This record gives sequence, C-alpha cells and structure tokens, in this order.
Amino acid sequence: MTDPKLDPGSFRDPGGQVFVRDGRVFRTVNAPAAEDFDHVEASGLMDGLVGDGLVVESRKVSDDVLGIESPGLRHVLEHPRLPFISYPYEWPFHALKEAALLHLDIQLRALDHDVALSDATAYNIQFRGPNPIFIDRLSFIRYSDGDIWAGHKQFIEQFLNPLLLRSLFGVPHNDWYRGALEGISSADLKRLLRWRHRFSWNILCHVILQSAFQSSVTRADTKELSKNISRAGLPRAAYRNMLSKLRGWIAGLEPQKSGKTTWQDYARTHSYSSGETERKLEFVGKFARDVRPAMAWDLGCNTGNFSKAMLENGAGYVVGFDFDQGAIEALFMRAREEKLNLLPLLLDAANPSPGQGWNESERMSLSRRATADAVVALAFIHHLAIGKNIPLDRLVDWITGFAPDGVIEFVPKSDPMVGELLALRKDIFPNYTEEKFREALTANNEIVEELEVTDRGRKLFRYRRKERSGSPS
Amino acid sequence: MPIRLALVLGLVWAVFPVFPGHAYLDPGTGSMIIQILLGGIAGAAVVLKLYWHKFKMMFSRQKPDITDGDAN
Repeated sequence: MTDPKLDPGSFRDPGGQVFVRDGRVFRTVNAPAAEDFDHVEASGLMDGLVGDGLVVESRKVSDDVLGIESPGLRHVLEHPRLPFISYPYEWPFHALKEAALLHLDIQLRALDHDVALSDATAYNIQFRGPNPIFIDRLSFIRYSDGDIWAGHKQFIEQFLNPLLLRSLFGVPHNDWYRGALEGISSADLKRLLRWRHRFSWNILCHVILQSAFQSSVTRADTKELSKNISRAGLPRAAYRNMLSKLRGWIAGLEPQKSGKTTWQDYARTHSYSSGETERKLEFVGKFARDVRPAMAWDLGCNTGNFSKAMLENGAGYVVGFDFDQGAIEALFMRAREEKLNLLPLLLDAANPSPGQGWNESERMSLSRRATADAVVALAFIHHLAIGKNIPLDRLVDWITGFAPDGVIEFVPKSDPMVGELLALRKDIFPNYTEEKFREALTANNEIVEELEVTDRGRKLFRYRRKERSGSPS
Repeated sequence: MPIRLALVLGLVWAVFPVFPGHAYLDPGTGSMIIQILLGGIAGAAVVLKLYWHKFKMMFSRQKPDITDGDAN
C-alpha cells in the first residue's frame, strides 16, 4: 500500500479533501462540513441524484482504508475513479452548456429537500463520455427559506458568460477561459455588450445589473446592506423561479453562426476514397480488438469515425482531441446521439493545456493526465510537422509517449493534403520522409504492422513500445 | 445640476446604475443585490434605501468613506 496522496487541486474547502491511494479516490469529510453532510444524507436527496446519474457515486469506508489520522476527520468516502479529468477550457460549447444545465437541475431538485449548492464552480463537473456528472459531494449544504444563492456570481462567470461569448458574438470561450481559470467576469463581458442586449431581461439582470451593482457599491453600502439583508432575503419560490428561468434561457443558447469551420465537413471532402477509409477503419478496429484498451486517445479525432471503430472493437473509453471547434462540437453531439463512450475535447497539439492555477498544479497539464492504453493519430502528424514546424522525431516521441500501443498515419509530401500545406511556403522539411519517420518510431518502439492506404504513399503504422531492459513493464 | 442628476438617476436606475463609487472587494455584492431584488418587495425596499442613501450622499460635500477599512 502506498501513502495517500492529496489531490493538488483540493485545498479550497476546509470541509474535506480529495486523496488518491493505490489508484482509488477518497474524499474526507471534516468537522466543519459534518453537520451539512449528515443533513444531506438524511434528506434522501442523494439517492435520487446518484441513481439518475447526476452526481458521482460515493460510499462510506472505514478510516483505515485511507490511512489518514486527523482529529477533525468525521467520514471517509470512496468515489469511483473517473476515466479522464477534463476542464471547461477544453470543453466544446455544448459540453459547457450541458454542465450548466446539470448544475441548475441539481439545485432545483435539491431545493425540495432543503439542500442547496454552496458554490458553482465548473470544475466540480466532469464528464463520463458526453454526459456531465457532478463530483463534489461536499458542495451540498443545508438550505433554509430566504437563503440567497451563494454561487450565483460564480455560476454567471463560469458558465453563463462563457456561453454568451459564443452565443452573442461567435467567439469560443476556450482560450479566454484557459487564461482566466475562474471564467469570464461580468465586468469584462459587459464591455462587449451593445445597447440592444440591455433589452434582454436575462442579460440585464444577471450580467449588466449584477456587474453595475458590484462596481457601484462601496464598503459603507455593504455594511448598510448586510444590516438589512435579513429582512429581505430570497424566498424559496423566487429562488426556484430564478433557477428555472435561467435554465430555460440557457437551454436555448446556441453558438452564433460563424460559418463552417475547416474540418466540420472533413469526412465528406477529405482526399481519400471510401475504399481507403474502409481499410483504415478495419486496421484500427483490428488494433482495438488486439489491444483492448480500457482508455484510448484519438489525436485529431475529427468526425470520430476511428474513435467509434475502436469503441465497437473492444476499447472501453475514448477521449477524442481536435483543434477544430466545429468538428469537436459536431462530435460531442454525435456522441450524445449515438450514446458513445466518447469524450471529445479541444486540443491544440502545438500548445496543450498546461499545469496551472495555484502552484501550477491545481489544474493538471495534459501530459499529467495521460493514462491511455492506446493512442491513434491518423491524418495528424503532417499538420504539426509541416504546419507548425515541429521536428518529426520529437513529434513521434510526443505521441508514443502517451501510450504503449498505437497507430500513427504517415502522410508523405506526395499526398495532396501535404501539398496544400506546402503550397504557399518554402519546403524547409528535408527530414519529413517515411524513412526518417520509421527511424524515429523504431527508436523506442517496434512496428507491429503497417498498411499502405493510398497509392500516394499514406501509410498506417501500428507500434508497440519496446520494453526497457531492467525495468519490467 | 441637481435636475440633470435626478434625470440621470431616474432614467438609469432600472437600467444602468452608474453611481460614483469604487469597486468593492466583496465578490458577491452585486449578485446579492440582484437576488434580493428578485426576491420581491422587501428586498427592493432594502436596495432602494441603500441607493436613496447614496443619492443623498451625492448632494452632500462629505464623500462616501472611500478610505475606510483595510485598503491594501
């Protein structure tokens, strides 16, 4: 047994922390949170929420299972381990929207049980496939009639404003969110709004006025306000009304039409024929049958055809990455419609999510979250090697570093897609050849199988990482 | 000047309050005010009282306590 390891992102709430020990996930419940925890337990709320898949399962275990001694420790809970931790700046618009709706649905159901959520951080929501799930058991607190919604401002900044950015202006939330981890402030969003937006009651209320009140209130005003607030408060019916109005509004938000993105139609317009696609699908399917990865990554997943092929051939779960908004958005919808165990996320492979937040470890970098058993990178490497000047050998090392087994497609310069990339620039890539690719791949891996998929020289390479001498794998 | 001020206040009150002041540290004050307004008449009265106080302050020479507290 190893020592329990505190999750580096778990420090804000004195009520409890998350620990990982031997691959199992535990949450402590400490004295400050114990009364609320017991109230929520007794309310009967959690059975329904967990049963309907809205909140992650948890069971009480004996304190020794975790092996932490602390005078304030009241309970130890164990949660099932989620396949992959993702962050709102990696989610497509509809994933953020589903997460927002989940938050509101949970609050609406909780109110009936005299329970509320103490905060509204988007990081408390994770995904299982394309389905959001709430993970923080300690965010549930007692509610009494008149209490205001403590997480309102946070909800606006972490869910609503990022959605509005895309919905009103066609600007994806991801880059801004990645820079400002707590979301988009209403003061910032307000500066972008035009006059006509003031006629939307919801925008006026939750963004403009909220922010205007915030900046107009002085310290003296707050004293005055806090003296009188007990007389006012937010009656339960008004609380419920606010939540359900927000819910209805957010459910109708869609990205502003900003034209088709480059890759949205890729499946229909790409440069190889359906016979070639069949061969590739077969190759990837066989790979999945042989390796049976619990977790597979699909780099440059696009429409998700190869992710789906892996899922249908023995892969347990696929995380699909792509840098194209339109493609990843369409794939998220497809995964929901076809009930695929697939989570599509935005990734610029030349600039993956870094470790950030407090001590640069509150939100983990992509490589720290790499737990893949298999990786596929089809029609992918030329975009980085030619499009972003990333040396081929380093690129191959980066991809193969994610998983011990994988499939990589080599797309040679003779291919029309590479021709396009080189059409307007000088060819400064003498090392971009199949021979150099093989050299790079076989430095740490062996080639298990290969297949030429076009007569222009596109090839699939299946690799397996070489076992290092002296260290059993 | 007071006429103009009253006009601005009257017009802008429901739409866009731009009272002089400075951003306060409490992250939730704006949200709290909106919520108690949504909460109904009792809440509206509290907020109205607050802004009536601020309104009066605009005519007095004494500035609101900008320097109050633990400015950092």
